[in-house]
Amino acid sequence: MSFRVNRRDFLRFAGGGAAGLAASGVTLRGLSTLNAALAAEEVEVPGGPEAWRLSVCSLCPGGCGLRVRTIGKRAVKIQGNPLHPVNRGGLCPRGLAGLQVLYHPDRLRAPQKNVGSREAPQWQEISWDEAIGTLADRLAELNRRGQAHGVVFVGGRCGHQRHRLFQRFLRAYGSPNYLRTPSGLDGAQAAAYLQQGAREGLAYDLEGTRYLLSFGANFLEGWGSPVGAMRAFGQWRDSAAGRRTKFVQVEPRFSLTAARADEWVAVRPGTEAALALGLAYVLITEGLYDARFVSERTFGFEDWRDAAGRTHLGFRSLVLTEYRLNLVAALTQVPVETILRLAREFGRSRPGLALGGHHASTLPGDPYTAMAVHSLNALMGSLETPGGVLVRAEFEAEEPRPSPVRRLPPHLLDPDDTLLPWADLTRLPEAILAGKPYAVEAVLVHGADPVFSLPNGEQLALALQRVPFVVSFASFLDETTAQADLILPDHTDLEKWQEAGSPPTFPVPLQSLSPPVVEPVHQTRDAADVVLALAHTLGGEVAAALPQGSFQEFVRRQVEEIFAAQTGYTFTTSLEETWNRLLERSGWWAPTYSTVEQLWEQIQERGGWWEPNYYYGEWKRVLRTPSRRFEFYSQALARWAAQHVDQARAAGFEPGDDHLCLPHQPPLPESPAEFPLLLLPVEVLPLAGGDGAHLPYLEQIAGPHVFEQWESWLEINPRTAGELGLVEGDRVWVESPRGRAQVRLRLYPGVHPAVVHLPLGYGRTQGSRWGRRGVNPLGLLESQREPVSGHLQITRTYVRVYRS
Amino acid sequence: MTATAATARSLRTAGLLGLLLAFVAGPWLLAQGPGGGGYFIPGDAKAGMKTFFDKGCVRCHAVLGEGGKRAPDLARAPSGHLSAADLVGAMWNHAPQMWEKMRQEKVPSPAFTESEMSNLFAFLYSVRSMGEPGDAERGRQLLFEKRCLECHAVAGQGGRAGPDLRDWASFRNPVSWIQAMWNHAPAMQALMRERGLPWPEFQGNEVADLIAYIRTQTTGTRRHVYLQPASPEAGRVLFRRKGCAACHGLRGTTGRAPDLGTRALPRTVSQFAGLMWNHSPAMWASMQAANVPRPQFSNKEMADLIAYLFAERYFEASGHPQRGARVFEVKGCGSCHAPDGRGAGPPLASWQGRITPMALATALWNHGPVMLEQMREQEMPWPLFQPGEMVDLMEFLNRGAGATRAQGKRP
Repeated sequence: MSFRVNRRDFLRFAGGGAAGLAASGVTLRGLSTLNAALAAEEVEVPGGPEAWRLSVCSLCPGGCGLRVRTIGKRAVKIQGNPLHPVNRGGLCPRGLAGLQVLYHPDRLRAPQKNVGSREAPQWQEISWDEAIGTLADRLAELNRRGQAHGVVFVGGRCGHQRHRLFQRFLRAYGSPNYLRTPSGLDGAQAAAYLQQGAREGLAYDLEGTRYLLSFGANFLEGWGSPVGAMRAFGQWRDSAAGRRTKFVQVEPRFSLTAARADEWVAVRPGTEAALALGLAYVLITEGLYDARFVSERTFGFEDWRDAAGRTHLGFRSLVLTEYRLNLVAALTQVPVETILRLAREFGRSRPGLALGGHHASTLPGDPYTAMAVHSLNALMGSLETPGGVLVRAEFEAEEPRPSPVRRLPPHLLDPDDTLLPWADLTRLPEAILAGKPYAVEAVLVHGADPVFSLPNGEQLALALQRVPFVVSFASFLDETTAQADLILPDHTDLEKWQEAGSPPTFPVPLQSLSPPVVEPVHQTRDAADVVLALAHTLGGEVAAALPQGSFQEFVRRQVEEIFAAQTGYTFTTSLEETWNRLLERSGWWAPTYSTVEQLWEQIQERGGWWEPNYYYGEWKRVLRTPSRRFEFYSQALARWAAQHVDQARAAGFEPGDDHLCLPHQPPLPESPAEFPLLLLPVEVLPLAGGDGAHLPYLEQIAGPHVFEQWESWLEINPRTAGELGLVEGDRVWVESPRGRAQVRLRLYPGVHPAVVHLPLGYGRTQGSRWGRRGVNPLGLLESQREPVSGHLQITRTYVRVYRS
Repeated sequence: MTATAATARSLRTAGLLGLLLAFVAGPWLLAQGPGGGGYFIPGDAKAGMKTFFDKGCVRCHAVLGEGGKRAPDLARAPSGHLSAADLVGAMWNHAPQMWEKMRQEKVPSPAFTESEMSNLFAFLYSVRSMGEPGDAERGRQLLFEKRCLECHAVAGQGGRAGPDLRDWASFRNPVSWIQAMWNHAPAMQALMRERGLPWPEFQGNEVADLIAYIRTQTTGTRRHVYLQPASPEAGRVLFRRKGCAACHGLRGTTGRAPDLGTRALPRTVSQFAGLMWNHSPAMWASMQAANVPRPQFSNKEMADLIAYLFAERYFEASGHPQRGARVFEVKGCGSCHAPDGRGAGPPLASWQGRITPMALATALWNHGPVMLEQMREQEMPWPLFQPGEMVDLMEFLNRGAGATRAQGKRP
């Protein structure tokens, strides 16, 4: 590679940025903006008794436990709950920003209905009775007309129990169309399904691993549970315990995660799969892979013959013939010596772990790259082993069956007809616009802003124009809410019964649960309580499915189910956790409670309940492929190809082409002459998930590595900038075939010379005064569906950059 | 009655019959709190784990794989059963190596109170008894070797005469397996006889291995089933009520069947399960001959019974003062601990009636480095104790060994 950045360079950048936080004019500008806004607000000076209360953060999917200091009726400080197994007292900047969410001056303060048009909305505050009545009347009318199935509920960032409640409501009402927002982990999830048959998602024992090979998983910035990952990271370098885990980050950009790694491998963008298969080449040719595991637990490693006598290409032959090191080095721009060294290190470090298939919190990577990376785990025998890859186990209470059992119509997005058996929200706009298989009559959105965050958000905005009734439960006006007819503003985290299930990548069942910390600041309501009230208003089967009077009663029922399961422990200290784990491993369970009431109280005192042990080697549970093995050669892909010959052909696979079923490097696009630079969005922790730009705490620390905050910036390699005649701080146009936007240029040596980066999370047009700044890179990117999985990919847009 | 036995029995009088098996009792008592209706135990296993961490033992030693790797895993080594006195002996024998290693690595030697040592012993005894999940791969092989699959299926593959063992995958505790195997053994025996199958025997950790394999067959649709803390007191009652006491001796008492309190019995619950299984046909035959009905056990009853047996085994039946005197002489203890007080160490007569394993371990640990230094100066070897010798020595000392020897009498 022709570009390099070392840790010192990065620290110089980051340190300079940190110093800038305290002294730069940009910061002062930010503060003056904040002060100007707050001047209009009457700020209550806290008074009264001090208390510490527990809660749960929902500003990312990590679900960290919070400990909140209150004085009188005001929350004044947030820190981590030391008993919470995910964060153990730690907290990231997003968690700390919870106070600004609570007391934000731009919150939606009461229910509102749009008395104008969708194009020119006019919002009028209404009472909660009128709001719930309006929604109930609309749903009752749809039900009368036999169109209940035309209601779609989009569930975004909220706890496991709320998802359960909303889903149960929708099913009892008569619609199968509960959709969840996409996750950046969906790529790895696809690999888990295609190669292991597992739908639950993968978990990773980061703490236990001895060698971590990360293919772009920005796990210190927004991947899975950032605080949990940071805790593991801290333990990798515990010299007192005599351990040192090597961490290698494979990524085109020198991200914060790359800067903290032992080694950064600057790979050519989009060639991660080739590099993973090049590593596999070395592991196989040098005999460094776990031959026993491969022999006993995998399928499709060797060439194989099917029942009809046809010979199929195996993983070994594929790798040895198509991923020879000179080819891989030329494609990836990673030298042969580096590939050899990394593979040997990885092969000799047990347990080792490979992560990949991820672009950002809401943008999944392509499944073939995820399969190639996951194949390294199988080669190393790192499945179901301490320090390896696990399959998540969630505590699932039994859902009550409606009586009489109601047969729901087919799902709007028909996940049974796609390769991956879960509904993809990005397909909703097409379904609405086509009116097929049936018309969408109403869309309810909670905890999500898909118009802003989906790669095809603009298309969704157009589609929502065609939906007769749109309801938002948002706490802030956002791009999706701006399309609504009715807004039922939700409480923020600290105002409601807060809960979270086991976070992504966490292997064992967990339920966080805490009562409200403060009284509601405005005339808002917990969306879960609103849905319960709605159910009771609708009556009949819906009311019968949700008889609870409040969300508190709903989660109390969950606690009763946990009690009945006779397993797990309430959160406790690390020491007691070790004791509990020792007991459980030997089959003993010694709870600290003997009644449901005691469990209920302890959960509130400690923040939740969990099962501390993961049971390795439950192969029947974790390998559910047709072969009951890890499949290098995915039979799920083979089955899909047999049923979708035309689609497979359109994806470039003729019938019988085994490459479709094996991990491989997807073809790279050519850059058009007029657009020479690849535009890749990046995720920074403060704005992870595309959310947070409305919070001054987070804006202040958005881009310290390039001295940038409060605004979008364009990262470019200094050499590239020089070739274009651009200098640091220039205002430039970034132009793609979809459009152009003006941003400030920041020179950053950690950028690949052929690439430019824009941060996600900026560029809102609605809502908070602080969020309406910068550029949403999704507006410039051309999204294309990955032909096999159907995931929307946004990594193939080329742009040109010129001075404005 | 000997003094060690007297110590043990006085403790029992105070509730030691309710001496909970530490791994069962610790959390239970903690939940109950003082005066919460629990049982008296000499030490709190969970507090002992805290001691294990706080005093830095964990930096070198692990328990069941959790902790340092530089010294042996104290839950696994040595492999056999160790009573409280045996734990003192093991600690004594390895102390010089430990101190030397700690000196080399500049690890300070922490002092222990007797209470802390009691807790530590309770912890170690409990984790040693608990055992841990076996080797699933070995368990898979055993299914074939022991011909289990001729009657049982696993996930649909195998015989149909017995239940599919996958139905048992969610049972996490070997006691559940012991209970099922015990209750169904006569029927299994009859069927096997009919089919001409030999009664398979399980050695070492084979039962744990077998269970480990069956556990891996779970499909995740059923929740794990654990057992809750057992009651040795209830186990004591059951031991008599179910008729076990009619045949078995316990800690030195005689009976027609083996003494269930001896050191020779295995260390872990799953090993004990294997032993019960192996002897089931012989037991059943003896019971039929003596016209004793075969008792049936519920899961909880079996857990209580095993808790009782393991709790009883924490203490030795009794030491032998004559053998203890010989140990005192052969090991050269009198060279320093002279009865007339002229040795380098204090006379031990004042310890009469006060020696317990925990007291001895505390004294050893706190004063051992000085003793070792003095013995080196005098070029005396550090004496090593064989199993059983420590309890004999304690019995000898509890009887006022110093005084009797000062008067020139053999105890």
